[in-house]
Formats: sequence, structure tokens, C-alpha cells
Amino acid sequence: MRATALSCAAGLLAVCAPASLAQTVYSVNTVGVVSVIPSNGNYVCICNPVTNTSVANTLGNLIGTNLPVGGKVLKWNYAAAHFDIYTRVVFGNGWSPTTAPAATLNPGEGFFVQSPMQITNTFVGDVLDARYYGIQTNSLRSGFELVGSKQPLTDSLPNLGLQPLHFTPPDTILKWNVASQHYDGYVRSTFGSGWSPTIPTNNVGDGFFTRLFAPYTWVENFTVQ
Amino acid sequence: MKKTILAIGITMASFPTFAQGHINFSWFGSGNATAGVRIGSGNNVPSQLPGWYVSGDYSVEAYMANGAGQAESSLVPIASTKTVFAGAATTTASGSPASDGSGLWSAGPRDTGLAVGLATIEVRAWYDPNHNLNYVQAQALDYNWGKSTLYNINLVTSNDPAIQSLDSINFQPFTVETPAPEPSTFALAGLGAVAMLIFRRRK
Repeated sequence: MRATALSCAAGLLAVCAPASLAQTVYSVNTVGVVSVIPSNGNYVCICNPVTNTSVANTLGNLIGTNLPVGGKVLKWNYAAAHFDIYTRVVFGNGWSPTTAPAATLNPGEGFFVQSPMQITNTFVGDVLDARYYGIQTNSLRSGFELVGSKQPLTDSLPNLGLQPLHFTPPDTILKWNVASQHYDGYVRSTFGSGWSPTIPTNNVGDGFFTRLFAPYTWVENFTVQ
Repeated sequence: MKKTILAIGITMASFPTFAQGHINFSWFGSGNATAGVRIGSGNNVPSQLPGWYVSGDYSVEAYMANGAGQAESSLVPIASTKTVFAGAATTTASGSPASDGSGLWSAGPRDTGLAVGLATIEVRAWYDPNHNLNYVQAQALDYNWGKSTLYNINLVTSNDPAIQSLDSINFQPFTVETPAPEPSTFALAGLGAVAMLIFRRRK
């Protein structure tokens, strides 16, 4: 089961505000991004590509009890160099550890989800439109970072502004292949397209690892037309 | 030359290593809502009763060795996995896997220090009210203790989301208690006493 991240309609749909509000309120580009999370213990690597303007972008608010008992959300702990694993349980506040609901799922942060049964999870919020929210930057550190695009975009990652510069040893992007349940690696190279084996692409709601040999600032300046 | 070596050293130091095998040392009952580690009939903690699910006054630790199907005698304690059971600070009659997680534990991802690949794992638990005892010390004090059967588990690199927990290997519950000495133990002690008496008479 391949993870699909779809915006509500036509890939990316900015739902306009009612006319009465349009004159006084800007940035009401509400978008629903649906992530299908497969069953059978398979993992998907996703991100929340919109920012929720009603509640904080946290695990408790954006996924919560939609994930069945036994399901897991894994966030990369950069300092400890391992995953923080949040498991849905029947006791306590429904999560182990109990701090799980407060874990952030901000745009730009990637995370893995595993569910004992197939579910869909809809992320609702504003597009981080550069016109209203400013140019979006994601400061990627050396080593492994689990990230996602801060904007709900489908394109090659270089076209989205992610083109790290270290060739020897090469910077790498690791995209999780849901079908094979392994990483597909995309390595910076000095020949051809600059990537081997191919240029990595991004779909709306994808998460992926970067493995960099020098810090890199990923700049995204998409504006809704 | 020195500069080159230094540069390589700095580069290597700035990256985490992933060669060592990791597990998610957590168990949530393997899908069974009533599965948990409980006190057995040989209970030796006066304030507790057989059948209760153990809580925060019990420690739990993995004993492991690289390779599948290894003998129990080859397993060594994995210090990074030592933790306490979920639930209240002390074991009570009301604690259960469904109510507060008693009988279960969740240490999260742990670097075992073993190589990536298949390993043998056994889980041991013991009464540890002050969290300062190891398994052998608890046995010596005649506190409740117990251990699981042996399982195989796959150790993975730290950035592999398919890191295995004990639920992944269908781990099953076990009990903690102070086993009563077996008849053979009494028989051996009796033989020893008789031998000593005979020896003293001859003197």
C-alpha cells in the first residue's frame, strides 16, 4: 500500500474565504491533506504540510485517537540519534509515553506512522504561503534529519529548493519506500543531473531523511496564485 | 598529513554511528488486553499478593546475545534496557494493563551494543523497591524474580523505523516470585548433613 497524500481537490486547492470575510481577513487558505496510512504493520513516512490555525500542530491534535491502539508515531530525535516512539495504548491518556500528545507535528517535520489497520488522517490548515507567512526556511543540520516540505508541493526536491552542496562524501536523501519497507537513497553526484540514481521528488505530505555533511538552509518561497 | 587525519576525525565524530543494533524495549501485551507480568504463587513480598500485575517497584531488563537461538547461559544483561514497570510507584491490587499499564513497560529505543542482525533475548524482572538492585542481588535477597522464555529479535540501525519491540515478536507474559526450594534441594541438604555427622563421629 503506497502512502498517498492528496490535497482536497486538484492536487492543491485553496478554499477561498467567504466574500464577506475576504476584504478583512487574509490567509484563510484552508487545505485538507489526506494521508492514507496502511495496515499490516507497514510504515509510512509523512509530514504535516499545512499549519493548523485553530489548534497547535501536535500529535494529540492532528492525529490523536484516530490512530488505533497499537499504532505508533516515530519522530527522529536528532540529539539522541534515534526515534522517539509514541505508541497508542489502552491505559492512561491513551499514549505511551504520556507526553506523546504534546509532540509537535509542525510543517517541515517528517515522521513515521504505523497502524494495525488502515486509516486516513486529514491535516487541515493554512498553506504557509510566502506572501502571508514569509519565505519558509528549514535549517537542516549535519547528520540525519527527518523532514518534509513546509509547503504542500509536488515537484523535484531541487525545484523546491533542496539542493545540498556536499559531494565528497555525498549528501544523501533517504525516501521511505512503502512497498519495500526500505529506504531509497538519492546521492549528490558531480555528474549528470547532480543526483544518483535519479533526482528525488516530493509529493504533498511526504517525509524523508536528509543526511548532510554540512548544514544547509532549505528555502521555500511558494505563493498561491 | 596531520591536518588530513584531524579533518577525517572531525568528520567522523560529527555523525552518529548506526552500526550497533537497536530494539524498542517496550511491551504492551502483544495485542492481549490482559497480558502482563504478574506475581506468582511463590510471592515473597508481604504487602503484595499473587495475581497482581507488577508496577514501578519492579525492575525489568533484557538479557541478550547476538545470533538466533543462543543458549541462556550465553546471554548478558543489556544495561541500557533496564527500566521499571509502568503503573503506580508500587504494586497494588488495582493496577492492571488496561487501567494504568501495570505489568507492561516502555523504555523506548535502546542501543544494545550488539551487532545489527538477529539476536536472542530473554527478559528478567525482579522486585526492586529502591531501584538499586540487579537481578542477582534480588535473588540473593529472596525477593520476587522471574524471567521470560527465550525469543529471537532483529536488531536494526537506529534510523530504521521497523525497529522491533517485544510486541513485534509476540512476547508472552511470565510471573515473578521466590520459587520454593525443590524437594531435590532438601534431599541434597539432608545428605550433606548426614555426611557431616558421619565425618564428625569418625573424628
